[in-house]
Amino acid sequence: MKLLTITLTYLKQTFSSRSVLIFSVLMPMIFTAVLGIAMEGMGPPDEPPRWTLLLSDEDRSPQSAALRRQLEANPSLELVAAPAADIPARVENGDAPAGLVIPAGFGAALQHGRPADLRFYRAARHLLDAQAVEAAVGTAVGTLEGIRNTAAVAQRVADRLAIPPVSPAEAFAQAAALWEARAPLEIHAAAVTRLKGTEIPIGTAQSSPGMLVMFVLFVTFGGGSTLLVERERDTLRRLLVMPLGKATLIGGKLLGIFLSALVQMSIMVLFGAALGVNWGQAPAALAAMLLAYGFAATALGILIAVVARTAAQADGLSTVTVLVLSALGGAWWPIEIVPPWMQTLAKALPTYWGMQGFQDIIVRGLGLRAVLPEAGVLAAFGVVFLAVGLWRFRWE
Amino acid sequence: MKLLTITLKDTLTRFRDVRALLYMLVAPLAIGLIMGAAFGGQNDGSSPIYAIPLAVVNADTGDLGQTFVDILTKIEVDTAEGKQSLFAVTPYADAEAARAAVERGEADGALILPPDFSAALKNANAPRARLDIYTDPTLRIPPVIIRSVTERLALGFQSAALGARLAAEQITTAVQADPALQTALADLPQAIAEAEADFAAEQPRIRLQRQTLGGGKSFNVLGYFMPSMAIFFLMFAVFHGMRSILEEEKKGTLPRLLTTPTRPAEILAGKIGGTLLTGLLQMAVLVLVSALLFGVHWGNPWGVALLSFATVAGAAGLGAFLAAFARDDNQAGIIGTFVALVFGILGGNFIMLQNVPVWLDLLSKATLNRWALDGFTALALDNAPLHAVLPHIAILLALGAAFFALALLGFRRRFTR
Repeated sequence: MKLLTITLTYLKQTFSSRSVLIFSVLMPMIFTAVLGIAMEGMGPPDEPPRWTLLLSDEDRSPQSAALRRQLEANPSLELVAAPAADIPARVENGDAPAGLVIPAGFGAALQHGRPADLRFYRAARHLLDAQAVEAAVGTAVGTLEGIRNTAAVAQRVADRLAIPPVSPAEAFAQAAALWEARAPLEIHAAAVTRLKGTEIPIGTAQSSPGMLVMFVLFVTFGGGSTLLVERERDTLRRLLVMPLGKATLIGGKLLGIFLSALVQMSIMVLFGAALGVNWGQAPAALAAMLLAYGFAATALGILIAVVARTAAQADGLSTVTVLVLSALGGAWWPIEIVPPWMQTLAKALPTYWGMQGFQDIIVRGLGLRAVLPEAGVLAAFGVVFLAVGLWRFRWE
Repeated sequence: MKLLTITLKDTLTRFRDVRALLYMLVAPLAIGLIMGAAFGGQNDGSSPIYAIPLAVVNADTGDLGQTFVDILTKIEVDTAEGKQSLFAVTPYADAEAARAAVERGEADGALILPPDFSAALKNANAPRARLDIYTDPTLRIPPVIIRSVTERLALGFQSAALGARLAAEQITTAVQADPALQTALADLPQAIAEAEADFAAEQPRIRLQRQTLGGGKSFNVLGYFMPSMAIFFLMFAVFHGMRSILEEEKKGTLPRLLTTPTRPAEILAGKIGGTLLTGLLQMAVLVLVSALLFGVHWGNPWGVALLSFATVAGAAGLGAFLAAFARDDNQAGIIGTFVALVFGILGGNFIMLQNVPVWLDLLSKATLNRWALDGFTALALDNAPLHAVLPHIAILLALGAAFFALALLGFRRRFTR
């Protein structure tokens, strides 16, 4: 009973503070929305990622037209026509991740079996995007080359059998028609997700769990530092004089911090859902993850109260720690883009496991069973942090 | 003289405060470094992604499926660590197991070659064979690479098969036109086999001449993230400096100071001076440490110096404005932190704002952070000369002056109350 009173007092104090509401509710909403937009999430949700390719066709041959058609057919590419002379400078300025120039003579070279060059420019500043564009250009080039090769094989057979050859232009047209109508292979690509529908908002699917994972730490670290404030003001000692017991006192506080974390995370989940993130499909899995991450975050908050000597120190330390944990754990950007050693390092952090579990739910569409490993790791983090925190905490 | 005393006292106080130093110097350097490491693999012109985990199921009953998998396994890319396999291929028994591996996040993608893969390529009358690719929805780049490379390889297999068919069609047409050619039909399979063998030995005709621009040694992602973090954390320090006047008001040291023969204007000027000096020193330390220890290239030194001053002045003006109209130091602290965080995210200090909606871009340009960052990145990444960043400097100074003017009105009301 006394424990609950302490918990309720903590919750009342926390949520009646305007600054808590601003920094743990309003601020994460702003961050979620802006990051989501910046990571191009808020467009039509089922649209695949699209990259701009600056294109100049100086050749204007049937071959270059076929290449253009192949590029246009690729849903990942948005072609923007540009004069060849401008393309390098525009790519260098970061207008587009990549540019392609089809030089004059390309079609003729291809037709006569000479090497045909294309000029591909990629921006060092957007190398990841450029790699994706290059792969897409490669497919289009591969198709064009396939058509040419088809014509060439037929030509060679005709030569060997001394059959009068068709003109190269006609052979190319025939081969192109054959590719279109009777290709022996078809490729189907799909993302592995159990979500109903295909709506995965790319930007907010990263920023919604990311900002949840980050900002709840501010809440629990703030909770941890209230212990230090009470110690500095001597209220902790006064409370201990009362017939309470240390366990009740700290238990009530911890429960209060844990519940405030749950409340804050729930608000973030609702906000994310309003932006189209699929938070709602596996309630049991979501509950397990929120409880596990909330527990680990709460325990980490206590740990901060142990490491810092004063409340002022804890505040400074908290900000740096939260930002570093979030950045390294993949809360700010997709973990896939960082070098392998940083991905390995991330696995030692609770923020990483939080992100993985939440993304299992909102992107992969998985249920309770799939998130149990992540929830388990988080619970283990929580137990260790809590044990160290309680063992080392100084009451006076 | 008194002005100078107050300025120096405030500056020294800040640099003796461990917590302030944590914010002013440690945090921007640490987080800037993390950001640099996260995006750093992308700056040397090599392919940042390799060894993509790929689950492969080869259910083909013919021989071409295995050839396909062999070629896929051997594809290499140039990386910062030298030549590496593009894919780390793991064989799986069936499609369900491969899909499950993708679902668990063990593979970035899965490729399923069907039982009729060879048959579809070899036999003109066979139905189309379907290759299935499954990718991890939490990833953005590897799925595109898996799809494109697999497609390209399949296209190569397809062109040989279709070449044979086109040859057969052309010959049939020729024979219909001239029955004397009938004898050639007997040699057709042999001729096709020879043509395909020739063709397999051939190099690709279309060559993609690749050129990476804006790269080389001078490009360092830290040139973006270090200024970003310096600007972001500068805001906190400068806002705190301007707020200290309210703290002194609350603690009663300000009224005490006012009983001495010191004019209010001197006190205010001293506070502003202290804040400007603290901010400038913070920027100077960040620029020097990041340049000497991490090799960050900041660009034209005059540009960096003037832009730093303009940024500090702009931020101090805003800080003074917030302090002048806040109820007390506590409220000023909350509003200041709020503004610093929102300006940080809107100003592009956490993520490059590219291809965002116009309204967001306008909102971004309403922040000091954006003008400062645009200026610093122009100097650092584009090696821009001083005159190129004069507009940024002018805008920051103008904003600072406007905020200071408003702040003076507020402070005058406060002090004469």
